[in-house]
Amino acid sequence: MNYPFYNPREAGGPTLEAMLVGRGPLLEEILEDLRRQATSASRQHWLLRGPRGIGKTHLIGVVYHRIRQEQELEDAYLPVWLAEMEAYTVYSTAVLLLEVARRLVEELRLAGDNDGAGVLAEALGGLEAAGDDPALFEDVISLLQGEARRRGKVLLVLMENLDAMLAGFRSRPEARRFRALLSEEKDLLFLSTTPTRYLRQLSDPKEPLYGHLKERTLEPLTEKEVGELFGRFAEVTGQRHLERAVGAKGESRLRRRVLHRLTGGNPRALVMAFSVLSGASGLRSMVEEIAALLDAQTAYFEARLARLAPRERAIVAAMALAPTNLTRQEIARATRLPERSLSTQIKRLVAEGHLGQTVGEGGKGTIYEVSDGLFRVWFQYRKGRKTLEPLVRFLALWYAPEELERIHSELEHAGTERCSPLEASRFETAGLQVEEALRFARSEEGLAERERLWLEDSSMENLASRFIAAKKAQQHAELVEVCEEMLNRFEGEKPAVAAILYEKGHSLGALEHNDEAITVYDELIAHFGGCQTPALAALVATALGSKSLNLGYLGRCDDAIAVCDEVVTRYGDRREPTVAKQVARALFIKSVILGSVKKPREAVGAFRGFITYGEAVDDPEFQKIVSLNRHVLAAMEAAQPRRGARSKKGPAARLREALGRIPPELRDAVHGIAQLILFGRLGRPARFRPDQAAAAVQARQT
Amino acid sequence: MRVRDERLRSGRLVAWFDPGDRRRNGSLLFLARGADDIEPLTRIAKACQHALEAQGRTDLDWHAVADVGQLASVDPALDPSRVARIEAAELAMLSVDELEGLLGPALSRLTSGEVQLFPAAGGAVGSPAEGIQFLGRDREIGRALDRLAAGHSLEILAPRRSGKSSLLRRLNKSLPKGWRGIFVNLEKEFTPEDLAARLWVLAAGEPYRAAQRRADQGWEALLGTAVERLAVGSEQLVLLLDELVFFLQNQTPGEEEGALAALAILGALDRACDDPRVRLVTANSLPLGEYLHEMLGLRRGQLPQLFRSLEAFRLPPLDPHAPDRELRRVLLGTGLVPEANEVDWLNENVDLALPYPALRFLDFLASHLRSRGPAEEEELERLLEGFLRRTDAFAEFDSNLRPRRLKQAGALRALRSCLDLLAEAKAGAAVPRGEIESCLQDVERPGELFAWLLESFPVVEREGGVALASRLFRRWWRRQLEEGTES
Repeated sequence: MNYPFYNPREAGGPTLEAMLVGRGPLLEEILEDLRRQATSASRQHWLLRGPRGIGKTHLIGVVYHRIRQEQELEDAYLPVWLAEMEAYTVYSTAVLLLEVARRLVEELRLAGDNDGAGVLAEALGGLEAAGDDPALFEDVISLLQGEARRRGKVLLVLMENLDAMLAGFRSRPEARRFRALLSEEKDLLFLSTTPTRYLRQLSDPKEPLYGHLKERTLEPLTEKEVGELFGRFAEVTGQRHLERAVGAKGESRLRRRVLHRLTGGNPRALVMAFSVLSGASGLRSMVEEIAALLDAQTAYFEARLARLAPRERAIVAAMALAPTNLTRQEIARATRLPERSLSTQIKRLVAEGHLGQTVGEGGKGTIYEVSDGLFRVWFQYRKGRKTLEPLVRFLALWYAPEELERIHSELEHAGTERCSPLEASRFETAGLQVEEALRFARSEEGLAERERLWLEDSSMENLASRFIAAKKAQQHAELVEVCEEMLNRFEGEKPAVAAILYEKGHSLGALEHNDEAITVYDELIAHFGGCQTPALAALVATALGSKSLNLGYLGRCDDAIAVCDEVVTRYGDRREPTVAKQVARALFIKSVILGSVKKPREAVGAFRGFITYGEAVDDPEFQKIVSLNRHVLAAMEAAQPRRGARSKKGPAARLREALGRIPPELRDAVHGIAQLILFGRLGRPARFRPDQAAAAVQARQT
Repeated sequence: MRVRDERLRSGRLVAWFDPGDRRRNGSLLFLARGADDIEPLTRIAKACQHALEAQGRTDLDWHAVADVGQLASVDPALDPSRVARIEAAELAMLSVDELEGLLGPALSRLTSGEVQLFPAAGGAVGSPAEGIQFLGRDREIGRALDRLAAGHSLEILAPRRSGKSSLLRRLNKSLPKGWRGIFVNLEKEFTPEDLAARLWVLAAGEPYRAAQRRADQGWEALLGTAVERLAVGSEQLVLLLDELVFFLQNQTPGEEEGALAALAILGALDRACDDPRVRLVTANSLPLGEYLHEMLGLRRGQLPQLFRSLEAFRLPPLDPHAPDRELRRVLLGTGLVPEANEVDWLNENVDLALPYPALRFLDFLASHLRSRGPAEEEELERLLEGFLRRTDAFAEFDSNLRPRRLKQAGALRALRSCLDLLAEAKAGAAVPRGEIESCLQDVERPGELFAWLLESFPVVEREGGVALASRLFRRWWRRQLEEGTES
């Protein structure tokens, strides 16, 4: 099964956008930086790091398409997306530029500029100098400069596997020339990626490119993001039954967590998991996909291995074949190398990013791992192991043994039905994975691991930290979800329940689910309306005020006004500042709502009530607001037509006249509020947005 | 600490329109959140007014913005992509004078049609800093221009990632009228032929390939002719050669042959610059004299006159009096908003005396806050600790110490004691010079070692004592001390 999102280069912009999960802030940061660099005298090149499958290509694919879509970026940049393999053939800066220029020809053709593409292709065809001749560098850079300047754009070079390219530079001077290119040429901007955690050429202060790039690391997806991405796979492929399998509630939430643990938050692993979960044929396809993926890595991994000394290669091979991570002593045993000589070699392998330390800082007892998980699988596969470890593990931990048996018999059945020997062999390989998974699932180790994975519970502590994080980040949908889970765990009418209910209502309101927000507020008011403690009374008053806002959003202005009045009736005689402020707030909201339905006289009356009531609130900060609003009231009163008086001027003119008597620095603010209440300028009841109005009012007060 | 909330809907905007073409405009929008912003906005307006009066400008207007979604209501020609946004709250703790110092240059850039009004931490965290990204080296530029005017050729010296190349570029752009600067990045040139060809391209405008053919027929003569031609028509010519030491390192290997090659190149440059109108400025992290002597066995007396008289121009840490304002500018350019108590934390821990590590940290911090939301002081501490644990930004200082150990008995220990003492002193406080000298008393030529300490580390003499100029370095060194690892 070939999913459209499996290879980001083949997927179109809309598919990549639809599959983009958890990378929003980084994408925005990159795009914002590109907008900034469009007018900057400095050129700061980028490097995105992250293990294979984490979504680097996907992200630069989105950048590529966004540049073509957003006018501001399109005006400033011409994106040139180098093919993944091009980094392997580069051995000098001039050759890199040549690859960029060749790719640019393709990009111009894609953009419909066939004439431009033809001219550039012809110019490139005329170049004769050798790859490391400075003249070639000069020729190509001047061609690229010409192309960029003619279009008034910067060439944004999207390049993968920077590590492979740097490894192709055999000499330090060549790396220096590349650095000079990065420092000097303002017509080029590089956005590169690398799967390595450590790149000596960038991290060693003695190296020319040390600290030269702006680096960001793509982190694994969170549990929630895994669920979201899985849902999007299901949506795009039309497999709705899978969308429900992994979700935010109950059993499906548990599955989501397990999926997160099993895939390590790696999107490519999640694609594989999705494929496997889509049935026996999906599993067979997955085996093929993984085999194809591993074959595609051969050039890269072989090149990396070739650069190692024979003893270092032996260490890496032993680590890749071992079922677990190893200590130095275990490596010595597996490689038959003397333990005392291993220290230097391991240190170098760690420094070069081949190995990592999982436990310890390099001393005795330190446990080492192969840094690139895919390398391990590739190496085992190349060594003739037909079972694919991650797939086996996934199957064993996800499915119950009886389900595995069923899948196995389905595969056997499908395999015998097909005539083609090639097809039969594919089903056989897939069946082998399931057999191995069954063996592991029934082993003591497998049983224990499965139990631990599935029975881990999400504690209240986890919920609390999720609540805090979501509130901090204003993630309202997540807040609603956490509040619901918390409410499921609380019993009785504890104050905490009121606070959670309020938070849930508030978040629903922010999501514009006004009816649901009102229902939640009603629940809060029904349960806690009789409580007289200041904290709970303030919370109920706040909920009533917020409910009136939600009613306002829905255009139910009479109901909204009635709720505001209810606040005054219930709590008008309370003097605790926390409660009294909410009463004043309700009066303010009432005046805004009355203004929006063109009842200026009543609106001014309610506003007067707000001032009168507000003056009695014992809170210096609140008094600042009241004092400002006295000016508003004075201006509005002056603008109101006096009964019986005849004036040629309209209320707007009278208001402007009244503003002349107000301190100049407050005029704008006063004018804004007064206009809002007197003329309801911000909108009609049908699309009335009291929160925006209130925000605007507050801002105008400044 | 948090990132700027650009979703705020309203505020006050100061706008500049080009009188010749109103479509060319720029503005600065001070976003307001609530009543707390009244006072800061009043002060901001006053500071801007003072700054504009000082600049003699009357062509900027203030506008109230009720809804940033409707900026066109301010003026239909207003370009929304050229509206720089700042929260009034970001400036709440500053006096009118401080605000004037901070906003004055930004308004000046605004009226010059510039889009970027403040430097961003991530704007140049590795690449050379140019334009607005070039931070606070006015004093050094002035000093270098004075020395050039006095007829000296200069060698700019500083550890890697200290901004030498950026300074060289800025110096080139700061040369007075009648002076001509020619900047050559020698990282791109591998051989003397390449260098001669490059200078000829710059002098004659010929294609590189043709220049290369000329150089093959005699690079020394071509180099001389190129410089001569470049000097024509200008009162003074300044040849700015970045990474001369690297260029020499890249020539023939072996001490004897390398020395001959280096002498040939230096001799050709000496002859080319043997004109009272021509000066040479080079920038190196390894001093040229030290490289020639230690790697090629060339003594000073053997060098051509130009290189015997090359004046060392050390790049000190960023002006210790300016960095706080510079840090404010960087925070504004990056959109980082510290809360009141976090300003103290920043002042204690982060500064721009060594811009590279500081900008890297602030850039990382901004990215973290964008994706994870606001962080309080405890979290900031954790993030800074993590950064200091991972960063290689101070490794150059570490490697400086190692050759010193080989050269002078006991020097390494003595230097470490000095740095320990300086790092243990209260932030910003100076240690009496006598205490530092006593750490060095058992070493031969202690005065020389003390001078080396000042040149090679962010250490300055201040108020009769000695102090660490960089708070970040201090923190990093203390961390090494606490961990007991060998720095």
